[in-house]
Amino acid sequence: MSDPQGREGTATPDRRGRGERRVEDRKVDTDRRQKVVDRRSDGNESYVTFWVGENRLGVRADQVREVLEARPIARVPLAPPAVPGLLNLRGQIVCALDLRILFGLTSTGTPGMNVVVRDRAEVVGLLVDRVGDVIEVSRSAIRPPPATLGHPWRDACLGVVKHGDSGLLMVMDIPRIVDGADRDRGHELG
Amino acid sequence: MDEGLRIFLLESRENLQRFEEEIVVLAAEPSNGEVLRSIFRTLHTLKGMCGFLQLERLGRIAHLAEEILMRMREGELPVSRVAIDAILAAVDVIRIILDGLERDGTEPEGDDRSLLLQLERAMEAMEAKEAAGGHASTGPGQEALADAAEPAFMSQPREVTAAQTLRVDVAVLDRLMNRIEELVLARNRLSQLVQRDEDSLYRSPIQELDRVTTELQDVVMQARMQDIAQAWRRLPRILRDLCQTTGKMVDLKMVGGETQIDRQVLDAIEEPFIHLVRNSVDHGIELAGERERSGKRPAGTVELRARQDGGHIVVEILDDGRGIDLESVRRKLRERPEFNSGRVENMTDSQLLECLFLPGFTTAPIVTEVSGRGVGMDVVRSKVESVAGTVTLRSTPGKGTCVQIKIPLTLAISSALIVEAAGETFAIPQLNIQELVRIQEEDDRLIENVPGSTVLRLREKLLTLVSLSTLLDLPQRQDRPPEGVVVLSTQDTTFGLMVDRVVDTVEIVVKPLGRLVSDLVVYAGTTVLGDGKVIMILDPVGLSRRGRLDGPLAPGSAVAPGETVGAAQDRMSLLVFEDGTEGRKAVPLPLVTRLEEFSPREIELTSDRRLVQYRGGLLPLVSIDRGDEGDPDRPRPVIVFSDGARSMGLMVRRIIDIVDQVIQLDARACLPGIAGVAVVDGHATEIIDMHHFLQLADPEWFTSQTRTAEGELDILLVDDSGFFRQMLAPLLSALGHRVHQASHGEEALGLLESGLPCDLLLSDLVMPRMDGYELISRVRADPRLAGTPAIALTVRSTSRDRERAVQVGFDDFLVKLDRDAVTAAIRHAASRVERCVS
Repeated sequence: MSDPQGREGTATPDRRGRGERRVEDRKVDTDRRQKVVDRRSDGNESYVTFWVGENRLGVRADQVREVLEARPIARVPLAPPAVPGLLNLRGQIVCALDLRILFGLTSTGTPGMNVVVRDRAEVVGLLVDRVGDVIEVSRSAIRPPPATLGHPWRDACLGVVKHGDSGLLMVMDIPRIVDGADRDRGHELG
Repeated sequence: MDEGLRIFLLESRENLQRFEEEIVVLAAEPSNGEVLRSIFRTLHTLKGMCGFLQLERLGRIAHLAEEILMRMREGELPVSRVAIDAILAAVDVIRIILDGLERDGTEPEGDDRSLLLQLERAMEAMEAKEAAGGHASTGPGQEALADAAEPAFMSQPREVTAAQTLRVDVAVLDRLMNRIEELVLARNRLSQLVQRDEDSLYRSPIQELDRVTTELQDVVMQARMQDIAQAWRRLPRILRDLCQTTGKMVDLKMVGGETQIDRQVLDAIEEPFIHLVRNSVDHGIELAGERERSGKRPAGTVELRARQDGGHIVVEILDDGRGIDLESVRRKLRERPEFNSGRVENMTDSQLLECLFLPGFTTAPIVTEVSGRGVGMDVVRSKVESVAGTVTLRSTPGKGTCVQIKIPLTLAISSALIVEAAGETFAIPQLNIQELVRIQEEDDRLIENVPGSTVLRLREKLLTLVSLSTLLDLPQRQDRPPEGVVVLSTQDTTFGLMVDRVVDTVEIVVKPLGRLVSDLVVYAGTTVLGDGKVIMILDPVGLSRRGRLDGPLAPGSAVAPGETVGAAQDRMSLLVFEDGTEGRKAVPLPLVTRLEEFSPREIELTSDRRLVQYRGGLLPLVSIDRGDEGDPDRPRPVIVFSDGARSMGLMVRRIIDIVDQVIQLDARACLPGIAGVAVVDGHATEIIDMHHFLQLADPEWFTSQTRTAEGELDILLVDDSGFFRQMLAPLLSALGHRVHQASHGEEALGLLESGLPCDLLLSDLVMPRMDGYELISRVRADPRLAGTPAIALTVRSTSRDRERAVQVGFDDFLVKLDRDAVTAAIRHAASRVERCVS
């Protein structure tokens, strides 16, 4: 087995580009290459940022596989409320996770973006309102989540970073986001 | 890990496997020089690599074993049992060392002195024998040749072909398969586009692409296929060890090992084969002496037979042992709390055999005690079911046992029926589909709504129907009735799934579900249709669980799918009888106190009643037919019912049977005294309403003993089973209470919230939509309702159920149809209500 870190560093997320990638995508690529260098030198990491309602969230760029425009979602009856269904990514079927619903916001009804991320051995499509820049964050700049941060944000938040003029960025942990949806499921397991 | 070591491990494992197979062949055919040479080469290579990699411990063992083999090859030593035992012992230690190497990268510590001694002794013993024989000309295996006339093992001669092969990682094949699936989808889309344009220039190239894609798909499928014999490789060795420990003589025959099967399926069934062969030797095959006494050959036979049968592989594991002793199975079952002895007595042979698959049956002492063969049968079944297969068991006492395993050829691509419900599309695996019933408008009468469920009358049987939309919480279409019923059978049950539309049958590629939805039991996976649409594949077992259609460990339901359909909670024992009128009648067994016979001469007539002296008192008798008394000399059977000090007898003509099964009660248009009609044991049977006859026998039956201290209560009876509501409601009314009914928790809660007066809540626990547990917690949480006394009703009572029911807020816990207990509990509750009011 080769070093997984190394693999992720060298593999571009989507070499098959089919016009689904947007500017953000390429940024992810550039930043990832940059990041490999950064990692060695100091504690900086790249984060892909996106908006859910008024909240700006970020996940580590090396956990993001690709960013896609809204696409059809196949509904899965009885799935947890925050799982609207399945996405077809060129033959690979992945679960979509609607972060608006997961974090207790009402659905805007307008299609957002899919941030396709790795969650442990799987891939999950996070539905978000808008995708922002990829930014560099120094690890030392990440502060613990404020005591005022309520459930369910708190469950998945690793910390917060003050970034530029745009206010606070919540650094999110993907496994915990996904587990949040798991927790929220009803008694539908049968 | 060092690359050299990695390759060494990989190769050694494969070599060792082959080595083990060959050495067992050698034991059977000591003069087979070809096999001996191959064995020697394998060990020689291993030894060589040990030296190269400086693996000392491994090298020492390999060296000694090689020495023995070399001298056998040269004809210096005979092939003897002692030697083969020693070499097999060496193989076991070599395996342990390889495991250690793989784990830690270095040889594990270990004491090999006894093994090395065993190897040396084997060599000395052989030399001694050789010297005693005093002949140097003995070729390889002369000594053992005599045994070869009746070989201990028979297997297909190994075909040694020099085919060009290449080792490929299975993951690569899987990835290749995935890519091809995508290619298929892209091809499908292209074909659809070009279809609209007759004169398209792309038409011909796309046809070419189409052909190549299909071929490619076939080839990759082929690459995934392996001989089923791969799953049998370890059997000869295991059998040999078993023979030694048990002292039995067993021949192993393997037929059809070249049958091809998908690798994924193969992996899942290797272990069941080992289990089954072990069972056959352990419990089936008798010792040689016992066999001879019963006129059999001293050596038993275990045979594996594989063949392809349509889209399935059928493998049979047969033995000519003593078969399964059904009496001991019965004995064992009686010890299990979920079986009462009456039920066990009435079980058919096939039902008893089915019980061997019950979880935990394995640990029963029956395994060592007599002949049972329960070892891991539940494990075998669950393994086989994991690859959508089935297991059945046949046994002839004294003759032997046959286990049949039926598995689909491949899991990757399977045939499925595409259906629609509430505008959504789903796939149903063809494997589980028994038949398809199209419902036309005029067929409406075939679908009946009996309280609590919908049934389809299909060739004399009542089939429970569930709507796919309801199961999946999708909105029900009101504009038109469902178009089709898909009859699904699982190993536990058969039921009809109502769908809005049956679309097509297609070949689908099964894709796994993500973690977020993987624990939804109703789905088996997902798939992509030709147009790129992602749809869910339904899991019939999961559907039946969600609809609560599968009987909990109900042996009857597992034995004959199609005979027992319906909701598990409606399963009960009925006493079936004839009474002189037409047709069969039945009464729930728990209501019956005892069965008696009275000669018509003993029956005394007073005014309009018939009485008989019974246990120092007079027993009033009634019969459903008022006419003919029959032959005055022939005693007539009487079913006795008791309630406290009172008893009454129902005269019948003949008691037919006691049947334990699922009851679907059709309660429409019934004569007085009949609670409803159900199909029991294949016959339309009227279920009698006991309360009617109790009152006939003694008009004051209820009035005299009830309506005394307690006031009139409003009782809400919640049960999804129409049958139990039918049986309980009259009893409650007879006790002088007002009965309100609801068929599930949600309905009950609605009634309560809308202000229905309720002094006592009697609720079933297992119900669709909202179960009893949730109902009571909602009731307890509502300040207006919290004080309502509540009693849980259930078919079975275990202490765990009881605890949980009380924990969530029930005041009491009753077994349905235990008349006395229900009456007592209601009295108790009533007195509490009185106290509260006063």
